[in-house]
Amino acid sequence: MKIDVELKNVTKKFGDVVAVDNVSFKVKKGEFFSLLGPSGCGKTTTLRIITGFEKPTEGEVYIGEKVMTDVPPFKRPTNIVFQNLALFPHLNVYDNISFGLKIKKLPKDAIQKKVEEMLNLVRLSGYEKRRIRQLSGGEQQRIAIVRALVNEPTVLLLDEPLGPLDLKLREEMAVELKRIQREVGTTFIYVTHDQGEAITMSNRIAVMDYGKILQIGSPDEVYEHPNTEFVAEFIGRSNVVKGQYKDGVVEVNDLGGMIVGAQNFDSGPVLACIKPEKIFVGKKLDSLDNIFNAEIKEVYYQGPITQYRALLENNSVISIISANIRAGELFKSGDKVKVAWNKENVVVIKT
Amino acid sequence: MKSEKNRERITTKQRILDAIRKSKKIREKITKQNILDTVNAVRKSEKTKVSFLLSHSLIWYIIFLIVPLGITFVISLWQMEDVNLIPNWTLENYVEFITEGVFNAPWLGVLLGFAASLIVITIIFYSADRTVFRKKQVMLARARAYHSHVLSRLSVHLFHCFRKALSMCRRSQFLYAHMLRVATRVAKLPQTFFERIWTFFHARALNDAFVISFLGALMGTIFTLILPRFGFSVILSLVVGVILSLMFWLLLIRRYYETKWLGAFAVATLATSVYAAISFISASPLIPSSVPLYAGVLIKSIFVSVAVTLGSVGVGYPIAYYLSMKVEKYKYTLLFLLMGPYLASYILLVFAWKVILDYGTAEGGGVINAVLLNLGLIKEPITWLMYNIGPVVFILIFSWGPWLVFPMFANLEKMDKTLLEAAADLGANPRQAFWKVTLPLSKPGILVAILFVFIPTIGEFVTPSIVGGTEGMMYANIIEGRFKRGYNWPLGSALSFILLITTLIMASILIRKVSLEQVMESL
Repeated sequence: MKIDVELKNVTKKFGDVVAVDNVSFKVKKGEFFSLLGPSGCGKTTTLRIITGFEKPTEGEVYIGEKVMTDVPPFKRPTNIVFQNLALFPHLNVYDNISFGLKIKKLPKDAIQKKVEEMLNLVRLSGYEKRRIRQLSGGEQQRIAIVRALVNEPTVLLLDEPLGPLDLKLREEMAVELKRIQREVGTTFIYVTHDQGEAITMSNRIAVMDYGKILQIGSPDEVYEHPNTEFVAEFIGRSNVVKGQYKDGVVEVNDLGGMIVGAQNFDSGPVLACIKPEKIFVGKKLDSLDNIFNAEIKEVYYQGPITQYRALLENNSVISIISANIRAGELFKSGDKVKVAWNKENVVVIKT
Repeated sequence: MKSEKNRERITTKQRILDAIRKSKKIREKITKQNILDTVNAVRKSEKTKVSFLLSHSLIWYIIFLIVPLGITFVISLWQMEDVNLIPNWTLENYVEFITEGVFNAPWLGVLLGFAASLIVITIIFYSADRTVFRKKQVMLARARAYHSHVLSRLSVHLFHCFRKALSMCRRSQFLYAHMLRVATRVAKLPQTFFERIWTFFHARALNDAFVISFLGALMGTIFTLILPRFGFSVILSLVVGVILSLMFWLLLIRRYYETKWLGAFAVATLATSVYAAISFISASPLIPSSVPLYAGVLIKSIFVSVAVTLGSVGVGYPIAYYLSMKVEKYKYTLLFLLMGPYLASYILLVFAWKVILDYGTAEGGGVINAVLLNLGLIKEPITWLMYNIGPVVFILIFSWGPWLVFPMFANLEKMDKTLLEAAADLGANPRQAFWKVTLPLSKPGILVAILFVFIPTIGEFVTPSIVGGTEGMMYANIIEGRFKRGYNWPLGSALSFILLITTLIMASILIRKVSLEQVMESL
């Protein structure tokens, strides 16, 4: 498999602040790769290092298997879709899209053909003469994407491009982006703080915090098997419990033993993470590995699902997501219930 | 439009309803009379607000503009006898503006040259259109056959340029039609006269050829006439004439008629060379010994103004660019330092320059001359440093330059810097990014700067009176002379009024090029 982008031990410091800390990863050709993390975690800086706007303090950047660490941005085969889009306000749609091609001095009819193709791709044909101000948010978004794509970059970088859109439009655009990526087959590196977007669109996700990459993996890997507390908390919220591991059982204070699936651990302090939707809640539950008593405190009915927050016997709060399979089976605040989960669904993280 | 009106009506209705609700009468029975009263009250309050605003600006207009202008205009129609103003209504002062100094023999040569060059260029263009351009397809095919050859590629380009120069905007025709219609109506000529002339000019090629050649001939004549006044030799003034008429074409005509560089170059060269040739053949001196006194000085003032504008924007823009793009620390401190010169009185600054540049007094004159004389680098003081148009332009440029940094800086600061990153990302090197992104986006700032400097400089008075001497005199100095030394108020008033009209035309040309709304938004 061809590697399109590779970062080797890249570190970036702004004065004393370490924005990117010893980051390494490889992105394969045609992959949709996401950098996911909270704001200020260094994901945008990583992106800017790939485009060449920032020079890494240490480490090497390879694009298309060539060293690009010292190459200025205008000579790199990358293109970026900016967070604020950065469309040229003094040019119309056609001139915006053809900006890069005109600089490469392509013949006029070739440019025209390419721009038309691209506008077709995002279903905006006939928009050539419009001013940028006349376009809606979603349309501007799509123009920004094709303005980058039309240059046929080795890798397309997207810096939270869906950030300013409203929720419904964002969902539509996410689907649209995935479709575009499938059709043109370009490598995408996508930066976002929205785990939902990252999970739906990506082939692989790198979770970042404080300039470090914590975990790289496919969406389900990262979701189901987080390797740190941060990843577990950041992606799809987990119930995290502190305890002592010994022989397949995690002892939790005032609660008792919790049987877990993981075996290859030395005894010692660990964190046990359980995803809220993996927890069953009911009056009578048996044939599950871990069953505890709880009292429902808060109920949030959300249509297809209901979220509960319940108090365990050791006074710790646990959140539960329960699918509303049958109507009329809601618990009320104050109900005494049993909560239960299987041992395979407990992720154990060593501390 | 309609929906807007509706919205207005709705808001008024809303306000009326609100007013009714708020009024204490709400507990009383709401009668029809009640509602009507409230409606009238609201309407009245809205009206008074508007009229209040209007009255303010009207008073401002009357006191500061219309009254003084009216007086100026009235006085400009009077006459002076010894030291008494005599109110006999005459246009003599305006006639004097045009005629003073004109009618000595060489001017006839100039007029002849102009007329002849006009006719010759018209014929060239007209015949070119009839013969060459009709065979467009053949010519293009032939040129394409040799397309790899650089010269033939150039010729195709040139061809397109000429073609575009000829296929000028139809707006010019509407203008002619309108002018003709007005003329026939004013002169009370029969409608058939209008139609006959219109059909004559409606032969479009002739029409376009005429416009092109008129502008070309005018430019050629004006530039070759004016330049020797600034001490250029005849050959040099012809060269500069070509360059200037090229610039003139590019700045004013190109946008309107959408011709290209080569088209502009072709017309400018043709016009100037034809003018020179005809003057040569008609054996009249190329450059007349005298230009009209007042009109000449006014044109000179406009030239000075253009030079100062170009110069001070040229000085100010790099500073603004550097401050906005490159400086991070002390940005605003540096900007504040630019205001330094304006803390001193302007007259003081000009006198300081006089101290530096002067010549001729016993100690060797100003600083520069004194130093050079004492070092033995020169034997005689340098005289061209002072008392001509050069130092006037120089001082004006450097006194306006820092001031113009402010609007251009504000504009550049507002520019989204990610756009430059976007340009770099799309493959533009820093230079290309500047020409394609930064400069077009800083156009509004530059235009405001031009407005700032261009209009006040036409009427500039202080600087030329201190460092200009007789050679560097500008139009405002002549006006001052008419009022004070010559003691001819009516002529002075007429000259001021002409200056006002000129400035008005210039300003409206500038403002038409970009809408003021757009400019103000981007600042």
